[in-house]
Amino acid sequence: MTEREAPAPPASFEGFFEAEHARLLRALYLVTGNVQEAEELMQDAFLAVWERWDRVATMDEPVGYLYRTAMNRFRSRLRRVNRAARKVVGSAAGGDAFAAADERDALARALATLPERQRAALVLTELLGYGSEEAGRILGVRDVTVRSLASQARAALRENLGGPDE
Amino acid sequence: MSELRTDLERLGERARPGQDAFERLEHRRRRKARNRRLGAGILALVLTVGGSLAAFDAFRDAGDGRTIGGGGSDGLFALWPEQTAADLAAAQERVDAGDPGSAWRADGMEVARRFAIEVLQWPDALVVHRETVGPKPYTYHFDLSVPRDASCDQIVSNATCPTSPVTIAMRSLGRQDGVWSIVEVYSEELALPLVAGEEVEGGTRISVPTNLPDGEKVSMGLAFLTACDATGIDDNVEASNGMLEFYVPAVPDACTGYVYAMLPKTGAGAVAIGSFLFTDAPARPAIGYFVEAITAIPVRFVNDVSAEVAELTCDGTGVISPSRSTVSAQADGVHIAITDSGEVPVSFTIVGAGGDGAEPGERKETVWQLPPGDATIYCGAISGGGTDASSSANLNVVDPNRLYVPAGLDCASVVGEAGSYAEGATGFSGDPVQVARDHLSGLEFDDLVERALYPESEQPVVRVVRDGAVVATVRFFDDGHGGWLVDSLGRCADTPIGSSEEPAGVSGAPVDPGVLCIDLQVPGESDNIHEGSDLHVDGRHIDFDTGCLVAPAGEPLTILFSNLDEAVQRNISIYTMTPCLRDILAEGTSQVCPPETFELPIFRGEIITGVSEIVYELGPLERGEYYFQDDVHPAANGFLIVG
Repeated sequence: MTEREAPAPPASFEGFFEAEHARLLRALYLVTGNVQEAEELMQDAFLAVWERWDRVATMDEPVGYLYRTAMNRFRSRLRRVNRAARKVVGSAAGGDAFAAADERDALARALATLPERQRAALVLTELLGYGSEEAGRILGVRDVTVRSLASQARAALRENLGGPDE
Repeated sequence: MSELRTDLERLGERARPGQDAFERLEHRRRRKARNRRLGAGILALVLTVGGSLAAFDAFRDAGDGRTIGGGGSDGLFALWPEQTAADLAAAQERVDAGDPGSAWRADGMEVARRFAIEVLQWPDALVVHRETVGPKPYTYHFDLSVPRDASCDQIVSNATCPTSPVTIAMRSLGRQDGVWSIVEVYSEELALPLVAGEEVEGGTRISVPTNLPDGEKVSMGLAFLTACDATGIDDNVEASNGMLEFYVPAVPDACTGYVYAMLPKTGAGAVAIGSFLFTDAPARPAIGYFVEAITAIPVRFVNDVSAEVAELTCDGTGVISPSRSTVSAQADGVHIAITDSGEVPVSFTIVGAGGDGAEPGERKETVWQLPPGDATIYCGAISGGGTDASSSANLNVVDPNRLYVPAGLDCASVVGEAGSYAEGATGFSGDPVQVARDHLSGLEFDDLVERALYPESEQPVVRVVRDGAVVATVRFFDDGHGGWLVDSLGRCADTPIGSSEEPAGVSGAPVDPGVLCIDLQVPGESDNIHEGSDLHVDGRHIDFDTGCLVAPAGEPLTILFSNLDEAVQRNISIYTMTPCLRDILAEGTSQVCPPETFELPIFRGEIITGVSEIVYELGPLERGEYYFQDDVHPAANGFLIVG
């Protein structure tokens, strides 16, 4: 498990955006598999934070709030996509992820095979270093579910990437 | 830093924000505000023409699907004074008609003051403009506070008035000069991570950062503003480690309502007032109270994703609700919470699984190994002689992550035995599956031994699958020191599998690699067995130089693979042996095994192209037979015997 760096208190929204937007965009790209979609979600999350910046700025963990907001948006989008897909084809067709990504990249291809929830759990715990409890808060699920999703994601990646067995 | 994290960071680098990222965010913000403005203009026009409620659909924000001013056919995302489009339109009509009793609706400051008095139940309020957000139509934020000379003692005996302000966000949801609506209420110490119009899922948690000290209780809950055929939920949540956690139970889908967190001061102890705070409900308790701090956000509730915990209420009088709900299985099983809302102890029974009880006011959460599908739950007062068969609820268990593995035996005649131990007996440590492999007698090489039911169930269950049929299951229990003791063993009557204190090994097919490989290999190649923990395999002419690898169990292995085929892609992967694969090797047939045979390789070797070498490193393997092949040319294959 990697340790997250202690966040410095943000001075202004512009400073907060400057400090966090690239990392959030990368995380959302890994979760969605689509740069444009990741940028939309990132902007949505920052807009929501901006609208209430006076309150968010005083929080102990404004970054955690940002990620919770971003993941809420992500889950809402998933529901809309699934609902739309059900209406059209009668099942939840996912469309997507990393489909247009570089075919030469094994990791991108492997990530594309994972369900979005597994990707989100993996990115939060592995890339961003959140513990399962905090990741659970961000995703709105229990910590045991985060551990299970991340574990399934890692196992699937190992299989797809041919990594060593544990 | 782990290798996976490094790889993820590298892949994430593909998404690089532009230099103008902040400018684009500002542009988006302006566009969003313009959409709101356009929506408001359209609404005003339509209301003027015909007062049509359908106009509120025009508020839909093309940007993210949320509605800002209006909530579509369900109504508005607004808290007070009106929560529905119909009521708002009626209020606007009254103001336009010059109704003196409604004139205050056009005065934002007066709306704020009345809100403090009528909803927060303050004796009076100072209203101070805090900030204006927008371009037009602006959202105005006001800080409300109790005047210093006011007394709250008249409301609640010996109470001091709130010292921190409550902030409200107000917007004219109709035309720009229309009546004012309060769209959000918030206090600094209760920062709900939601925005107006957001979707909130049933079955999820809402985590609220708070500055309140540990142990302080906050009233949290949700309420429905539209006709959702549901009642609100009021709960007491304790602050812990700077966080308030509120569990959103199953909710009617697509209902509009609000989520709140509140510190009420009452003269009657804890009281549930949050779920009808913003309505003129006659059911509001006739008690003295005022609100010290509150955050309330109007949202849309959705329920197309099932809950992680099935929340059921039983009052002991023959009512269990909701009568039908859906729950998503978790890694340790299906979570069911029964709240006894009555005044007598209740017991509940989950058909085919078991039961439990709850005391009045208690919420009892238990975990069950229920398969996906429908389950029936009965509940009734214990004093009434047990559960009331007339009171049942249907629970639909879904398993989106395919966690559940059946443990039913595939045979007509079943034999069972239960473990019997002296007090203080110690079990076998380690993974329950490995314990089963080591201590079940009568296993054969082709047997698949794997975890059954849910993978993190408190009482592990392991099943034995032989030729595709479940022939035995063993249930373990914890000896209290991390060891596993056999609780019960079930098996098909014609399958002699038992439990053994001593490591039992496997029976059936012999492990002698000399015999096995000689028997199974093509005549003339029987001397071509590669043995050891550092193996070397040559690939030539789209084949391997051996069909039989022999390696020690429990040690890391390496395979040096030399591809001698020019410009040809080759690799070596290792799979679990199955009867089908064994037939292929033994008979040299080209039959097609089921696709799942190759879905989960034990090891997948990197593909190399042309004349080159690669060293594959494998973790320790368990004793048994395995199958290896070139994934690009599966006809190149063989046995890996680990013993």
